[in-house]
Amino acid sequence: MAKSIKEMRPVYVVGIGLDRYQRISERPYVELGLAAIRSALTDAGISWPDVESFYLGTALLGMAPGRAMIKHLGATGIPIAQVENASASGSTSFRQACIDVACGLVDVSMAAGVDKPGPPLKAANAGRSRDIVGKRTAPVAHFALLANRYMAQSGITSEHLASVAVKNHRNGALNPFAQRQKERSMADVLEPPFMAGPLTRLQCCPVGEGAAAVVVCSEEAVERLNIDSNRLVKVMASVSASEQLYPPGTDIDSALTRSTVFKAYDQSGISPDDVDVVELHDAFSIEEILYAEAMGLCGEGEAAELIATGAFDIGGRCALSPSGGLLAMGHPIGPTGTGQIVEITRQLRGEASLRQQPNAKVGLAHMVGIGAVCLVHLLQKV
Amino acid sequence: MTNANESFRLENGYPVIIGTTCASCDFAWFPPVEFGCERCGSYGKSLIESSFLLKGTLLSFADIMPGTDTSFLLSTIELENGATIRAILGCTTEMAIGDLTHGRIETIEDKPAIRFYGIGE
Repeated sequence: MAKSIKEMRPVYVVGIGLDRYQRISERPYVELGLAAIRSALTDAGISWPDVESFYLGTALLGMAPGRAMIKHLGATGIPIAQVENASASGSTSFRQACIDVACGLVDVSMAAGVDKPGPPLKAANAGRSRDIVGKRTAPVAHFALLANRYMAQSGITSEHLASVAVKNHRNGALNPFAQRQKERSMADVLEPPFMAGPLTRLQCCPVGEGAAAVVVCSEEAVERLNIDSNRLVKVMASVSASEQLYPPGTDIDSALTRSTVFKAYDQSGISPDDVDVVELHDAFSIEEILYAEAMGLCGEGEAAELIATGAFDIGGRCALSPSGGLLAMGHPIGPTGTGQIVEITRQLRGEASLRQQPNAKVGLAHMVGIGAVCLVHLLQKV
Repeated sequence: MTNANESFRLENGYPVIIGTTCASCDFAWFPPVEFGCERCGSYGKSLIESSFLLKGTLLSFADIMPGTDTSFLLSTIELENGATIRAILGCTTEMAIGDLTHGRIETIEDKPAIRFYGIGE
């Protein structure tokens, strides 16, 4: 009978590292990735030869970028694989590392993500389909259609929508790893240009470069490697799902998020009321509203007002996107999902400094990817 | 009147788009893809090229890149046969989500193209 992560060997996050998300630079991806990996190893207090398997989330670098990067840590001969799952590539690399440890294949695994922006080749477009809108359905157009529909149904205003970006830029201004580190007022966020529908530029995430890395390990490795047991964060659920066929008119992204998140709740015994911090796929402001409701963090139609009135601020009932989210921390694609695990681990350890959600014990990481996939992880302070 | 890549044409005087219908489960979709049915997995002869009338309900629309030379109104429309499509709105009168809509074949920059309008336009 199939098992969930919680029913297998316990998996702990013990090391985290980032290289700041930023606009594309002259720095090679190898340099970005190594900086994050070395930071994660230092944070865990272990060395590279202790790592027994390695997964690299990347969507834009092409074939086999992993070995070319990690050989500079010393070629130990460990199994490696590149993981491509669109925006959820980093989340999927984390899941693979967790599975390695949970199954007992290894005691220590590392998930990393690194990318530099470039034109992606979308395999989903290779089916010889004959559309009538050509190349006019970029992600921003898709989410503008969702935003307008939600606004018409719920009666929320442009200010409600913009309040997501105001909050997340405020959080990003406190995050030294964020691409956007400037607070923005409501007037700033609402200022044109409009990219699509009600979505202004600051309600759309920046896609730049960056890197993230996470070390996960077993209880045996915690003891053997003398890892600080006071900083352990346990992986309570790991769920990966892909889009099903929904009735016409269904908001697919919300439906997929709802089913995936609630499967994670079921696996872990954690309920929406238990969740203290959430990092979610807020590539566009409307997404945070849709997903907060899909995750059961509030009732249908309530999220926009709750965000606007501070319920999901740092210090509120649950901190949404305390890192700044994709809107302010940025969305370099491959690293983004791994970077969410970094932020949640920092929060659960109580090491998030000015961004700290008080008394945070449970965190949820959520990414969706075109295609369409959804990855959800639940983490808990030990 | 047909366009170059046969994604739409006039049939008996009515504009249609060319989609696919699954004979096994009646699921219909556009654009036409014959690799397999997303609902039931049937393939091969079960998948039939079909004409979809350009009549449906506006599920949403948004002004893309407003204020620029390349601005256009993109929409999501549920056709009468259940297929959901993305299409360009050409309407000059105000439309609202939930309105009925219909498509026409027009010549845009010397090429045939589909535009959707409100009933009465």
